Amino acid sequence: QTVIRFSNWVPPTHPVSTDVIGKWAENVKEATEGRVEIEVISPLGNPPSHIDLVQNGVADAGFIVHGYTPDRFKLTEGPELPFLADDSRSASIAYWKTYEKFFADAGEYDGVELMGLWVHGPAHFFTRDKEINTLDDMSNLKIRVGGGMAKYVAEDLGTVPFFAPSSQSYEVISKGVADGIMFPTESVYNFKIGPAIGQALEVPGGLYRSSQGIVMNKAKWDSLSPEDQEAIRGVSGLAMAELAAKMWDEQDAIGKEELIKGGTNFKTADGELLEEIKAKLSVEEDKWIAAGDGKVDRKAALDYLKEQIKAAN
Amino acid sequence: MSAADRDDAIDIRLLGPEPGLGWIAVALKLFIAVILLALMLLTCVDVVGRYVFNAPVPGAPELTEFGMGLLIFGALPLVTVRREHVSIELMTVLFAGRGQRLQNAVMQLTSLVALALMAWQLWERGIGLSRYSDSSIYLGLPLAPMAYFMSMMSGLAALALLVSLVWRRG
Amino acid sequence: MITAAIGFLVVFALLFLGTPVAFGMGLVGFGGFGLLVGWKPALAMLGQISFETTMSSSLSVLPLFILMGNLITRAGLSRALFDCAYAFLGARRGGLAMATVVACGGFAAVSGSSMATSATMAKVAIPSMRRFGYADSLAAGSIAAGGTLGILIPPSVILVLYGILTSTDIGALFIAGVIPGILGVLLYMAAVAVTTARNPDNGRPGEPSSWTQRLQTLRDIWGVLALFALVMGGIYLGVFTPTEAAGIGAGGAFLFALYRGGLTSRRLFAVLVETALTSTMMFVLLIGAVLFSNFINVAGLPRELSAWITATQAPPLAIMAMILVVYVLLGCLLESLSMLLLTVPIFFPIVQGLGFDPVWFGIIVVVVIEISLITPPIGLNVFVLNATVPDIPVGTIFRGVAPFIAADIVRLAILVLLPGVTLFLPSLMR
Ligand code: NA
Ligand code: NA
Repeated sequence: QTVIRFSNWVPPTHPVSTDVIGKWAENVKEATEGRVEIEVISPLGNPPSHIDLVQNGVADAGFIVHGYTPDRFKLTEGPELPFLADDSRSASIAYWKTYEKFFADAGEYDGVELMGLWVHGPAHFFTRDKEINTLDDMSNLKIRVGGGMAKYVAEDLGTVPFFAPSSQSYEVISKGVADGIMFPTESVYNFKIGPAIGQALEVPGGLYRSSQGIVMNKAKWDSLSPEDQEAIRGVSGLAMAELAAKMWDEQDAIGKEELIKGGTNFKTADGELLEEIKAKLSVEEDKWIAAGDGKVDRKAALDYLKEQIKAAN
Repeated sequence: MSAADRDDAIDIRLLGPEPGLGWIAVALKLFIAVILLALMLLTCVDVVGRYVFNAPVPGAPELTEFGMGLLIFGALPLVTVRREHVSIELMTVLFAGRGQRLQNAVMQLTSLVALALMAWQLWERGIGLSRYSDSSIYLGLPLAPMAYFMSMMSGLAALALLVSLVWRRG
Repeated sequence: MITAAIGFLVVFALLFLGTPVAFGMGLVGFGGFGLLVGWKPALAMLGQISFETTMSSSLSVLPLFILMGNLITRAGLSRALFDCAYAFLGARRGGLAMATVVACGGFAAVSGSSMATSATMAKVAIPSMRRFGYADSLAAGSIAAGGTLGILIPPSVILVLYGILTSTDIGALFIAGVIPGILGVLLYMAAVAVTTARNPDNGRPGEPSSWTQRLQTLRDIWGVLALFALVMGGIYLGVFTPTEAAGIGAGGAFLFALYRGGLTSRRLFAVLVETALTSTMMFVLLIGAVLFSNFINVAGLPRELSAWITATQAPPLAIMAMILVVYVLLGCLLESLSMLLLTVPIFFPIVQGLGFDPVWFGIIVVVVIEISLITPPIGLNVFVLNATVPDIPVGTIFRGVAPFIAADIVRLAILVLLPGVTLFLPSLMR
């Protein structure tokens, strides 16, 4: 029996731990008839370091958020663009297919074995009390962002992006250090920011989404028998994208329901406001396409991604 | 002697050169003092800026991260030659002279090994970070130079400890 | 589990032979990881952990709170605090010792360290108590014990580290420390009362003060009150995060020290250097502890221990009692930071699994660490006092702290049996 040590920095009760990592571990065990066991252990380092921890073999496997090491993952910012999809499922399935067709040869995962990747649900605009009716209402609000696409979007919208590490996002919002946050609905609920959030502006298609994945140490992967590798492949990749997306979509729904119960006022951006937001954010697609080094046809990849999102719906 | 005089006596010992480092120690002390003062000011300016002028310092937590790296590792050679790494002085308590000599030898040897390992692996870390030109998420500041800095400070700490040993023997 | 147990034995052997605690934990963590997982990963981990542990914005709270305490020390507030407490309590039997304890509690409200609290208060309280013919044992004992409050009454570097290690809200931990801290002051005063009732010669009453004098001294301590209100009020009301509170507190202490005068550029330089050195000492310790806890983690100790404890089906309170006994015994030998860093990674998952509140456990851990600071043979506060007042022998101080250890045990029992005492204030926060 081979034991794979999975260093998990997400809290053990978080749905990523229970419904994604935990379920995947069960699936791996079942698919390999118990020959491979994923043993989930407390984290061996901080979240951004997990790509290196896995690459160096400190951990055998780990969960990564691509935006934490933006210099290594340029392509993932494509599926993070605004307005792509209203859910996690269609975007995640399309993302995996786009990865296989366009990104796999780009070498972004050299040194590790990619088990699967996906994006969380659409991010919306949450504020403590300010109701957003026009673009002007957003300007100069202090909005907590992590970095990457969220930061670009916050700047494009004319807000004051306020950087706080993800571990402190709860603190800065609930204590009113920031005026609001761009997050998927699920995160606002699960990070328990809800009580501090009075207004939610849902933006159809989402303001951004964050790309995530699971990687395994290369040597560990190579040590598995081809039969077991095949079996693990069967429950990873597309299956993993579906697993994770199902969780995110469920959590978004639960989060919205609970936030409404808690008194958060939800409204959807439409009409002039939506047009203005779209106009402000349209630069991001062009920027991403233009930023390529020519190895990957980014325009074609984005078109394919959008096509696959439609197909998945 | 008044209390104020005694304070100044402490100052002189705290601020001067150190065994194994000589006057480099004074430069390091100035460096860490400036960094610490800057960290304090950065937080104050950030909070006041945020509340009074609606203008937080962009990426203040990231600047703090870099400041912490400079502060902690900048002071490492000093802490090392001043023998301020916490140790349990049971040997000294139990068997005075002989115990103390054994304790000293163990302390110096393990410190040297640990610091040398840190210097080596932090350098490797720097190489790893520069391979992808990894930078901080928000401000995009390169991370590798910080790892190289930490490596050099660990190396300096090990070297200074060695020099101070030879000095004492010789 | 065997591997981890051997690891522990090797750490203890190295520490008792004189290895600095940080390097002992770090080297054993590195070596154990190398044996279990491989040497290449172990080396890589060494570099990664050293780097990422240091490059942390939330940990800037440590140097900044230490700076705040050191600046306040230089501003001469310890004298003002002692004078004030003396004006109210000095005329009672054992009053100076009681005043010392109260002043320690006040100083603890602006300093995050127990050793600093003891060292500072020793300079002002020992001469006064000697003038009134106090027994050295009572004088030194009250300062060594009173100083331990430095890490319980917020701000506290130990609570910060506990919060970081266990992902517990540091603000909540700080607020939770207030009532147990006040309880500590009251019980220490009771310890002084009992001691002097049995040996009236140990602490004769001082001179009574008039109300005018009392109010006068109150005016001198407004700085401590203001700074405490600024820092804790800011955290409590959510104006800023604990990390930011540390910077604001240090800035406030800086302005206050300027206002009080005497903060020459030379002294400022000394305070900054001193703070940086202490911080680095702590961070190296933290790096060593993280390396060691990674080894314990891959060796499977916390999981196996938890499983074993669950299997025994003992009542949670009995297990808690066992853990506390282990703490008190370890505390005789270990220094406070090392004890926290070595034990929390092992005990916290168990305690959490048993359903105890993480904030409550944090306070309990701090209280047992406070005890460790004054129990022989290794009692850091006792050593600090001996270094500050060399003519009082260590043995005398250990004798003097005995009644205070008894008070600590009473306090520990109250806090364990009545969690509401600790959790009442944090429950109001949100
Ligand atoms: Na304190
Ligand atoms: Na002790």
